[in-house]
This record gives sequence, C-alpha cells and structure tokens, in this order.
Amino acid sequence: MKIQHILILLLSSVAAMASEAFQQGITAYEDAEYSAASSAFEQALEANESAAAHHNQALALYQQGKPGQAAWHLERALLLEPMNESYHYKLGALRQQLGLNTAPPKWYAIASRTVSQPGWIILLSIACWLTLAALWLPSASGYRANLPIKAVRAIGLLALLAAGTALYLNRHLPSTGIVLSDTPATLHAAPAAAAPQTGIARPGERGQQIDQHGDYIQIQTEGGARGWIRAQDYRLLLNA
Amino acid sequence: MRLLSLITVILIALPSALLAEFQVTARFDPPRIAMGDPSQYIVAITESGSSQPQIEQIKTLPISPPAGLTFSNGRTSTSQQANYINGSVQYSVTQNLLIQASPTEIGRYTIPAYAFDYKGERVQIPAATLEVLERSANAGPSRSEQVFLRAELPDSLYIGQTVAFDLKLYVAEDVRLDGLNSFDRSADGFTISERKDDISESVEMKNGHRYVVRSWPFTLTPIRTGQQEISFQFGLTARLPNQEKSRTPLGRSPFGGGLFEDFFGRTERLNVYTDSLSINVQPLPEKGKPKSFSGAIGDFAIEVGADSEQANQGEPIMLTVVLKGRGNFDRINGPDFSEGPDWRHYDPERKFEPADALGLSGSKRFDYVFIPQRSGQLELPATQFSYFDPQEKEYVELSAPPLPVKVAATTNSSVPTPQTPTPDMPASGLKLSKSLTPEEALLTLDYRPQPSRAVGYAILSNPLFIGLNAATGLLILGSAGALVRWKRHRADPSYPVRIAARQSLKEARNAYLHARQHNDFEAFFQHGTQAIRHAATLRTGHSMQSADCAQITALLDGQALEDCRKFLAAANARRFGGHSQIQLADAQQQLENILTAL
Repeated sequence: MKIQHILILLLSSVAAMASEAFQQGITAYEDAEYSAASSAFEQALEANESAAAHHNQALALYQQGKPGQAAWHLERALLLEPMNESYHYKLGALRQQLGLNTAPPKWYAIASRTVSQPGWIILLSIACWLTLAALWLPSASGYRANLPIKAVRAIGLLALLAAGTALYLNRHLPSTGIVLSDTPATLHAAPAAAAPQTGIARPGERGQQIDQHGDYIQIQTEGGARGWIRAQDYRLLLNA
Repeated sequence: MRLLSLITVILIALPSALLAEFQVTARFDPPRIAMGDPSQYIVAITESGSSQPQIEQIKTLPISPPAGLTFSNGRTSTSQQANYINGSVQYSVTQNLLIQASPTEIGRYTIPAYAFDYKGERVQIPAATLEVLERSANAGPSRSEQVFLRAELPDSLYIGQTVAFDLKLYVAEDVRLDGLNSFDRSADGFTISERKDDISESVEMKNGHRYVVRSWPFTLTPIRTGQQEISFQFGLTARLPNQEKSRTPLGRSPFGGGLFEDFFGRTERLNVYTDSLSINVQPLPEKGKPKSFSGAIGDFAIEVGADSEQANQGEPIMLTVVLKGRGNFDRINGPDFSEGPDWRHYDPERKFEPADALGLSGSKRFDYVFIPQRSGQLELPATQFSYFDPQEKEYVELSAPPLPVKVAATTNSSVPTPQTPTPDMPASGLKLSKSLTPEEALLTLDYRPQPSRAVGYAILSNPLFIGLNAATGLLILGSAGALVRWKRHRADPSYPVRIAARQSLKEARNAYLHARQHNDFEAFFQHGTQAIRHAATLRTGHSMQSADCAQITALLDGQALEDCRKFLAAANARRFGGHSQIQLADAQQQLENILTAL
C-alpha cells in the first residue's frame, strides 16, 4: 500500500510540475519572452509530453526564428493529436512560409493515424489470435461453426485488415524525420563536410532516414534530394 | 607657508595644463642631396597638453613646389608620446606630412614660410631649403636607381572592368634587401586585390644595370569614373653599398671588394614609391546596353543544361548555367529568370573554379532549381546573358534556347508543390471554426493540454506484450491439441488403448536395448516380449497383453512370422529353461524385424 501511495504522489507531483511549466510558458509567451517560453515548454514536455506543449513550443521557436525546429514540434503534436484541425492548419501555414508542400494528406493517411501505433499493434495481435482461435478451435473440436463464431471470424478478419493496412501505411514513420536547420542544409555525397554537395534540404522539410554513419545521417527529402546531412540538423519524429 | 607654496605651484601648472600648444617645423630630409637622390619635404605639427590631444587630419598644404622640383606621393603619419613629470602626465602628438621631393635640376630650392588653418588657429610654417649638388664622377648609382618600384597599368579602363597587373620591386644586384617592412597603396577610385605572399623573382637588365625583380600579382577594378590616381609604396630595409666606387682598374678588387663593400655598406630604411599613376576610368556606354546586362565585363561563353528532360509535377529540376572565359567573375551573379506560371525557381547556387591565381579567368557555375507547377510538355525558360567586351568596346548578348521538359502529373502528395492556403481554405483541407491568416494562426497558443497518447513502436519490445502474446498463442495451441484428442476419443474407442500402447512400446524398447547393452538375457527377452505385445496392441487397437503366441503370430507372415516364432521360443527357453541357444545380436535383429512388421 505504501508503494502505491508513493507512486500516486510521484505521478501527481510530475503532473503538477508539467502543468506549472506549461502555464509559465504561456505567461512568458504572452509577455513576448519567447526564449523563456521555449525553456518552460521544454520543461513541460520533459515532465509530461503533450500535443499542446509541443504546439506551443513550436510557436515559441517560430517567434525566435527557428522554423525548422518549430516544424518538428508541430509534426510531433499532430502525431499525438492527428485530428486536431488547428494543428493541421498551422503546420500548413508554416510549411507554406517555408516553401514546402502544403497539399492536405489523403483521407486514408489521416485515418491510419486516428489510432496510435501501439493501439494498432495491440488490435492486430488481438485480431490475429481471435481469428486464429475462431478458425482453428471449432475445426479441431469437430464442431460446425455457428453464427456467433462466424461473426467473430468476420470481425477478426476485418480488424486484422484494418490494423495491417494502418501499420503498412505508417511503415515509414520510424524513419521519418524533419530538417531542423534554420537555413537550407547542404546534403553531401558522403558522410563528410568535404564531400561534394548533392542537394539541399530545406528547413522543416520531411525526410526519410536511409543510413547513419558517425555524425551524419543519409536521408531522402520529400523534394527528392538524397544525401548525407549533419545529424544535428535532422531529427526523427519518433525520437522525442 | 605651505598654502603659499601650493598656490604658487597651481599658478604655474594650471596654464600649461589647460592650454595646448602647437609646435610646427618644416624641413627637407636630407637637406642636401646629389642629383638623382630623393629627399622628403616634412612638415611636423606637434601638439602637447595635459590631456590627450585630438589631431585634425591635414589633407592639403597651400604650397606649390618651385621650378625644378616636383612633389609626389604625399602622406601623413602620426606619433604619440606621454611624459610623466612630477606625477603629472604630459601628452604630445606629432603629425608628419611627408611629400617626396624629386629635383630635376641642380640648385637650391626654398619653400618660403606660409600659414594655414589648423584646428581653428592660424599656424605658421617656417621656410625650408633643399640643396641639390652635382653628382660626382666617381659616385655610384643614385638611390632611386638602386631600388625602385614599377607598376605597368593601362591608361584607360571601364568602370567595373577587372585587369591584372604586376607590381615590381627592382633591387640592384649590389643591394641586399634585408626585409619588407610595410606595404601601402593609395587608390580611392579602385578596388585592389590583397597582396599575395607568393611572389616571383627574376633578373632584368635596365639602363645597363642588373636588377633582381620581385613581382606581386594584383587585380584592379575601377569603381569611379574620371581620372583616378593610384600609387603603391613599400617600406623596406636594405644594405646599400658605399656611394664611392671602390673598383680597381681591373674591375672588382681581387681581394674581395664585394665582401669589403658589404662589410662597410650601410643599412637603411627606405620608402620606395611607384611613379604617379593615373588611369582614365570611363563609364560603360548606354548605347546598345541589353536588358540582361548585369555588370559582366570581359569575354565569356555560356553553356546551359538541365539534369533531366522529364519530371513529375512538383519535382525539382536543376538548370545549370556555366559561364567560361575571362573577366570580373566576382561581380557576376548569373542570369535572371522571370517568374512564370509554369515554374517556380530559386536563387542559384554559385561555384567559381578559377583557372588562374587571380581568379580572372575560369568558369562560374550557377545551379537553378526549377519546380514545375503543372503537368504537360513544358519548357525551361530561355537563358539570356550579356557582357561588355572592353576590347571591342561593345555589348555582347549570349542566349540559350528554352529546354523542353515533359512533366507528368504527380501521384505523390509528399512532393513539394507549394500552394497558398487562404483563410477560407485551410492548408489541411479541414474546416476551421474561425478563419485565421497563416500569420495569425502561428501566433495563437493552445491553452488546453490534453493527456497525450503513446506513439511509436516501443510496444513491440515490451516484455509484457511479448509474454501475453506468447501465452495467448500457447493457450490456443494447447486448446487446439486438447480438442483434437478429445475429438478422436469421441470418434475412436480404441484411441486411448493405442496411445497407451505407443507409450508402453517406447518404454519397452528402451528397456530391451538397455538389457542388450548389459548382456542381460533375461531382461532382454522379457522386455522384448512386452514390446511385441505392445506393438500388437497398437496394431489391433485392443489389448494383446495376455495374447498367446498363436494370436501374435497370426498378425505376421513371411520372415517376420518365422522370426517371431524363433524369438518367442528362445524367450520361453530362457524363461523356463534358464538358457537359450540364440545369440543376443541375432535375437535383437529378429525383434526389430517383428516390430517393423507389426
């Protein structure tokens, strides 16, 4: 019982700290102290990650002239709250300012993010075992499947299809990242500063990580440029 | 008494502390020279006071040189001094105006006293005299013949035109250059490249004298029109030979006259100047100036190419323009392309590859990124570039035709085709309750933090998740296995007998093999007989544990039947008689045949 009480107290204090830092960030932002606001939102995120804290951090960074980092936080906020219309709009506005593609995502892409990745994985495993059991156990026992078992089979197969599709659509998410630099970053042909330039990655541009070597990451940007970028200029979306 | 002394000291010190004084001198240095040697007219203004005096830069003097004397290369220098006297500080600043005086005739030249305004006061400059004597017959070459500076520049240039030239320091063979102390240039109407460390040395003959020539390459670009003056100066230290010729009638002393001269030669700090140089800088003609002209002067050629002839909408294409030739590359920014509905383009990446040390010739590459805004058969715009050719004195316009590009409609939403979201059409395509401009939207905070959900794929390595899935899988497998057995139970009553017989057969087989290894005849035949009975049970589906020999042999035929009879006979002989004629190896072979047949 004592351990439970200590855990509850600990969690409560962490939540209180996050809330306090969040409010401090809002106050600093409204006083146009964007650097202080950014520090406060960072603290709030460390204590308790939330889409709102990411969103507000993005605005504070935007005000400080750091559009690349702002784009990362907005993308992260949308990962946490994919159906937030305001976040979508702001990300579109920011990407427009950065000269990036602002075409809306397809409906199935949005649908695939309505449930989080762990949610889809749990659903997939449950549906998999349920379908297997509904298909296998009746035949093993020699009974003919009745209507409830057939319904379970159908539901399991549908859930399996939905979860599998969603995970397939999000298959690039682990390697998706954002260019953080505030100015266009140089892509090199090899993981070295002296290597010839192969292209440019714009601030806030999405990219797929292909490889990593030392302090360089090989990416392919949404614009099609491919090359090695300094690791400090690129951050994976799932790397919170 | 003490008070009286203090007042006396204050009365003496105060005026000198408050009043700054000017001391002005004028002289020729040296005041007496041989014809051909240089001298300097120096005006020194020294200002002193108890606080640091501020100098006023003197740019001109109201004098003109007398006939037979020319002034050139005027410059100023300042020096400061602070003296501590009885605990108080006395500052003095001296501003020197140095003008090179070059006589053309022998004689005595006097600059009379004159006055000019300095810091609001009328300052009197005393007279100064220079005496120029005839050079004696046995005198060596003059100093200006021993060390001098030359720069060969064109008489006329166009504004913005970049030319290369060499600044040459001529040092007579018998002069040893100990070091270069300073370099200065006066070129208000030009930009001049920095002095490079890589100098070239050569030997030249001039007026019958042999010189070691040190050359520094420079580039020069006029930035003002009109007659523009330019001069260069080196401060150097050199060891000069004695002026008196110490040569024997046979030439140099056979006892090492050169060494002797070196030993007795004098080391001097010299300032050497170029002759007064003037360049007429002309403006570029307005007549015939193309619209695409952006300041390139020289002689150029152009190459244009695209990295692809087909692309998807929104996919960037690189248009590369390469300028090759000779001219002012550092002032060329590349051709301009107007914005059109079909393409969006960005400022180019520039890369200059010089073909010479000064960067006057080479190639400059401009990489433009063009993004097609629609699909179809498009054309990258024509490239127009013009330059002014100073040799032909006319503008030259270069052009490259439009490049065809086939653009396919995009199916990938991730390709950047920037659109302009408006307040009525949010970028995401989702409707907003309130219309905001993008700028407004980017300033509005979210005041309601919600608990966030977990994202990512960390659950795949979560032990609880893995354990639950493994348990679920095992449960389903176990259930399926149990159900299969239960189904068979229901369908076949002999199934449990067979299952039990299979297990017992396995145990009996292990037992007779063990007995065989230990040559235990009795145990071998006992377990072997049991194995045969279990095998018969497995085959028939009902228990054969109490079956007699005839019931078992009825299940066999051929060689297996014969082996069974022999084996059972041997087993009975062993069991009841205590011995048997058969070897264990043969008995085991018979047993294996029987079990295989059953």
